[in-house]
Amino acid sequence: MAPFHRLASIFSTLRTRLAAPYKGEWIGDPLRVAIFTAKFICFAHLTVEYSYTVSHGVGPSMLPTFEVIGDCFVVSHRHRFGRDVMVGDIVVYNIPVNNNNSIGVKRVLGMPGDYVLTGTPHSYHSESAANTRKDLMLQVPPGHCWVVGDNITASRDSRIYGPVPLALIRGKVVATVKSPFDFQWMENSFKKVDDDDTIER
Amino acid sequence: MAPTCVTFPAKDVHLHVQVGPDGRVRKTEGGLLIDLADCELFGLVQYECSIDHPEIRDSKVRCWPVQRWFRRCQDRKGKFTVETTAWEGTAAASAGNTTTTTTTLAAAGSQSDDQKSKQSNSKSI
Repeated sequence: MAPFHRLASIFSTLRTRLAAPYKGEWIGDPLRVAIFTAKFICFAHLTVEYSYTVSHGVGPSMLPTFEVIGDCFVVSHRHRFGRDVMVGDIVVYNIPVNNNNSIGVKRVLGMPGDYVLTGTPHSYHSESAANTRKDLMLQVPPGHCWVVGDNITASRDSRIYGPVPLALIRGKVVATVKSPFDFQWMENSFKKVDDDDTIER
Repeated sequence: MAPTCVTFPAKDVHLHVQVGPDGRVRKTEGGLLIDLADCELFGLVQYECSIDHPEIRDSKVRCWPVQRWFRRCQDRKGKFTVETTAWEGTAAASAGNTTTTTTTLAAAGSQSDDQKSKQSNSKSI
């Protein structure tokens, strides 16, 4: 048989096999299973990269917003690359100084063009250091953001590795799931203060 | 990694906000310079957490609030946020109006020395 006819016969077999009616047995045709698997993987990839995922974080850096272990949160990947991210949002990002794709979860304190403290603001807890320290600030460069963990004493964040490129942001935390029955939308804690007198010296 | 960033003392932030990311003086609606004390005030609370008794198993973890302050100002290109945690309460912040903060950036050095002496008298936040 000429090669062309052989090819044509293969194609016609393929077509009849693919168009074969459902016969009640789900696994039976390896080709169909392979195609189904490929479709499933593609769909899963799209879901994980572009819609919403539920993941969990481990570590003390976001206390008391997230527990050290066991808290899950919903990540919206619509906000990947820092799209529509505002100051006060919690983002999930690839840590720039690690090359094994480890993920960080921190709060954004500055978007491009904003001015932030490079160090740690002191509380009354550490008042003795307050008089000797030099508070330095910087302007967040274009295309970057400044992230700091909520528990500022136990967090490795922009104070150590500087501004984080927006391109490393995987998504924004939109809700927390502390247990299957405890679902809470995430609230932005960056709030407007109406009265200037609330600043206590 | 991030490009090189210039850091500056927090007490001079009211001078540095006058220049945008492109290195030009920001333009505002009235043609005035940006007055940080007039911008909207925002607050954000972070925490310092510590274990009460690390030597005891299941010891309580306590978190102490650390208040951070921000100002959201506007120029012709839009809004930007300025952290004023270390700036609120300094001499420049209490002086407050545009006329005292509008000394040119060139004079920033002499002015900051002036502030330093004032700041040592006033309480820090």
